[in-house]
Amino acid sequence: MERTTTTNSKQTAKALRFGLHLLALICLLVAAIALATVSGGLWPFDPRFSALITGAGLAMLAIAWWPAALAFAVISALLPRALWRLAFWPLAVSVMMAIHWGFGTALGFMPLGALGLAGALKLYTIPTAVPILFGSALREGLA
Amino acid sequence: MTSPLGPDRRTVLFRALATLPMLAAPGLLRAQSRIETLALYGPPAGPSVTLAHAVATNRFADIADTASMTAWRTPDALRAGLTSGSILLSVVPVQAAANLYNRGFPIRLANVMTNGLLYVATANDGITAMPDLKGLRVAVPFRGDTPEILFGQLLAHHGLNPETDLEISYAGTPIEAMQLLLAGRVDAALTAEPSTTAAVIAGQQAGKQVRRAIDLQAAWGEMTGAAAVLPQAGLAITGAFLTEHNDAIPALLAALKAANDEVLADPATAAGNAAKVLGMPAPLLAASVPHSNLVARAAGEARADIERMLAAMTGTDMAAINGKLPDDSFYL
Repeated sequence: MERTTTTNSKQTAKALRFGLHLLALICLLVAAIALATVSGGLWPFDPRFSALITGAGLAMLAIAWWPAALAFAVISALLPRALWRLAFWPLAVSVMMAIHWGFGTALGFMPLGALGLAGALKLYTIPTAVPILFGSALREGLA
Repeated sequence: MTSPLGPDRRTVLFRALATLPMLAAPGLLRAQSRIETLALYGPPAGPSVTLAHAVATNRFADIADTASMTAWRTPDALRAGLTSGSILLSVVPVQAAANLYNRGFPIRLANVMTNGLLYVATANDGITAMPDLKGLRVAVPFRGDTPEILFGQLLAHHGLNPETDLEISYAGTPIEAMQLLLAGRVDAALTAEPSTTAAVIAGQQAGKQVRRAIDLQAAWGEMTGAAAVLPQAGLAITGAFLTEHNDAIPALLAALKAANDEVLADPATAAGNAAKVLGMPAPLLAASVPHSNLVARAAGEARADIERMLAAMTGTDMAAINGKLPDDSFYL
């Protein structure tokens, strides 16, 4: 009886953690769409077009930097504590900016100097969070 | 009581005034029959924004009971509609209208609705003019159609052979050309608005500075020594419509001119009016309007530009327009 209760509470906790990850993912996507709309001047507002443009932007970054995205997901899955994974996020953004500085122009991206610090943060903050979140969800599922 | 001497001067004047409407009657009888439904058609591109906006803002109320705007999706659909008689008024590529006219189809060009909307888009800083394309991979849409023909003429003018000096990837549509560019599979793409704007916006979201590196209109003007104008599309009207409503044409063209002025002044509102009809997102249409060179020039006024473009596009045999430039009657 006690074992059943413990199993049930573990499953509930796991479902809650997954729910939180899903909620975080939704928040990230909504933020990405809002950012794309405002920074791209996509008016009059059309949610489908904003979502399409956001998706296209994320896809282009994922195609260009997939090894880095994969590495972030794996590292995140290996970190045992949620706080550490959260702390890994700004580090990953910094790594992406360094990679962009080194290889971005050759891959057709704007030079980091032209992009500026704010532009680089806007470009990589959310796309970097997605694989980290995915790795974190994976970790929670395996735990 | 009536004077035995007949009507006095006042009575004569009164009767004369009373008969004035009768004197005008032949003119009234001759006046245009009101159009029941003014059905306009056009491609899902810039010039159709003007038509859709004109319909949405009730610009044709003086000549028609109702007005509608429908976008045709392919040139084949346009051709089928024109020949079957289901399309009487449509924005069409000028070359297509000239070809139909020269083959005896009863169609005339009423106006020009864009002075050209072709660009070479790229994220490569090194590309600023046609010669810079040498040795690069370029996506080109609509093989054998207006954009490719014009592009080929410009390449030839700069001493470039598209088969040996460039690596050309043919795309089905400008959207496909834009996708090849964004995926990094080509260095540049020949695109038409609003696809060029889509490439610029999507590139911006991924940190790529896609820009309109070569304005084909400007390059064309440089090549011909004339105005930087490519009158690519205009409103064509079939004989069936002209037979019944010829008198309505000046009012129709005036309405389109007024609508075009409004579109240029407030692209966001016009795009909102056109988005559903054209099946394209309003923000994309709004952003593309400033680059679509939208106009509403009378066809006769644009004739020199049209003939220059047709002559250069169709080569010495002019086979694409049945061997000759259209005569005076083509221009309304």
